[in-house]
Amino acid sequence: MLEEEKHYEDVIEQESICISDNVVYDKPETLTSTPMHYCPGCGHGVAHRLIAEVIAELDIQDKTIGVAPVGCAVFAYNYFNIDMSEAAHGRASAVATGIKRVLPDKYVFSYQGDGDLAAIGTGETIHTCNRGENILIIFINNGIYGMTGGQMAPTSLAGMKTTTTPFGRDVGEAGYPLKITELIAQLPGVYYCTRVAVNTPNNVRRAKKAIYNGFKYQELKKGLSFVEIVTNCPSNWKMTPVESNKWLEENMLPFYQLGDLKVPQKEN
Amino acid sequence: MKGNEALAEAAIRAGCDAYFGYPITPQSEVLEYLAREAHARTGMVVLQAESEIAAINMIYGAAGTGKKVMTSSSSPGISLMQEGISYIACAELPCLIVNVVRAGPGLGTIQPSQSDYFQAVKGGGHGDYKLIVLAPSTVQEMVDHVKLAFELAFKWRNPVMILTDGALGQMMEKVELFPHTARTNEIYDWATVGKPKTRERTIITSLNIQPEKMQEVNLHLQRKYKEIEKEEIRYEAIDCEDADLILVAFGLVARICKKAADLAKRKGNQSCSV
Ligand SMILES: Cc1ncc(C[n+]2csc(CCOP(=O)(O)OP(=O)(O)O)c2C)c(N)n1
Ligand code: SF4
Ligand SMILES: [Mg+2]
Repeated sequence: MLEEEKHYEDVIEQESICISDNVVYDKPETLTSTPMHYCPGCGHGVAHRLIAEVIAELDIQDKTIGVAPVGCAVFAYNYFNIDMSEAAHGRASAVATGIKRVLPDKYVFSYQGDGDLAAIGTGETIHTCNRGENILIIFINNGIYGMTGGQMAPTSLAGMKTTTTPFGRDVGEAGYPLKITELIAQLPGVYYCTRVAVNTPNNVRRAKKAIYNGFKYQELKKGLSFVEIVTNCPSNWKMTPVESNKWLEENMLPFYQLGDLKVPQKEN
Repeated sequence: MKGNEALAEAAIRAGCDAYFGYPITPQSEVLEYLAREAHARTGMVVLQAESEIAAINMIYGAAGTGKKVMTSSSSPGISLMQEGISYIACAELPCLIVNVVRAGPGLGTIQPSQSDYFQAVKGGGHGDYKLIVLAPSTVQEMVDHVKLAFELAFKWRNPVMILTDGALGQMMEKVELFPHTARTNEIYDWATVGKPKTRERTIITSLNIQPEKMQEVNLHLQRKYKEIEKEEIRYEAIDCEDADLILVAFGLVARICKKAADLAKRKGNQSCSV
């Protein structure tokens, strides 16, 4: 256990938060006790929790290797209690490919933001998907560069104000918001491709199911699973968490429509 | 054998687990030879990546599992890899990177050159890191250096570069190949292979956001490089004891110098050595 984690474990012990006969919902073993550095209301934390729960429920902690991006989730490996590797900005799917190719029987997933996956790492994303690498890619689309302070992302909506599009994204100037998931769904190597969100309890449940499917298909060696999670970035959208979820619902989801883009064909 | 093919054959025989690379002249025979030979013989993974950037990052992932992995390219491709090499050096992972140098700058030419010398020996990418660099001057050394490179990479947990060039890569010479070493399944305590309940998780990272931690890592790396310099410097000195004039060279130029010193001796200048 890392020094820092030990400290937080102790704090939690002392406060007896977890010691209760009435615990109905607990932290899965696949999450560490390190408090997450994400801003209040940020979707990253929920997405982490769902992935960790699925790994715990499938009982594959000892067989799973995660790849963290460069972006707000750069410290993902501080929160997942599994073996993890960092990747250079945009290259997580290549790193995941390297791991999976030498350890084909392990579960490998990458976790990437929109700048990471759909701008600087577009090449790696497309080709990893096109090779049908037997991994799971989790794509966190918050329409912005969270970590670097709110610059335009490839997925920023038309008209969206960011620090590098201070007058709103002018698509004639800066190009159109990129629906990379629709593009990915066209590739024959991709087995499962879906778009979910974590802004409501129902959506959280659907998102978990999608992540579960991704790991399951990997177990069955079906090829690549791609799960986009449309999320918020209250800090750089300059909104409260509640406002950001409302904005997400009213602006992001009409453009990035939730649902499956590619589902396995029924095998006879 | 042709230099590039001999090097590829040596990688198979050294028990290499995986190769990730991208075509570029004068290096492509490495990938081609491995694609033809490796998998069937040892089960070695051989993957043509979509770019050198992808290749080096595949190396990063695979090296983190503790496997013996390598890539090869030529100068422009090696430039593209520098960010990844810097990550690998900081995360202290073993791997082999082969640079079959061609002349530059820019797209340059496919003719041989030693113009990547400084890039290779001073680090190459961002940050204070260094590679272990081996420079063969014969096809035989192209072979022998592969085995040595993997040994050094794992001994020091550091990327090792074989700095060769287009002439050595393309020339044919007689070689003696070493016998096959089986691929191993050794599991290192620093490797990401999946966390059993019995141990803490492993994390491969080069991120040291606290300045104190960054300094500590840098001091550690510099100490390591000093030790490597002390222990691992290799050179061949031919009749240098009483020489008035010593030619110092590496790689292809070393054999040209040998010849020049021979000619000088034959012309009566006994004091020129290499
Ligand atoms: C080669 C390189 N270029 C740029 C950066 C700076 N950088 C770090 S994170 C980031 C964008 C992250 O945005 P995104 O992937 O959308 O993740 P988010 O923070 O929104 O989750 C950028 C540009 C970097 N670390 N490396
Ligand atoms: S900056 Fe945005 S994406 Fe990053 S942690 Fe804060 S809310 Fe989340
Ligand atoms: Mg983002």
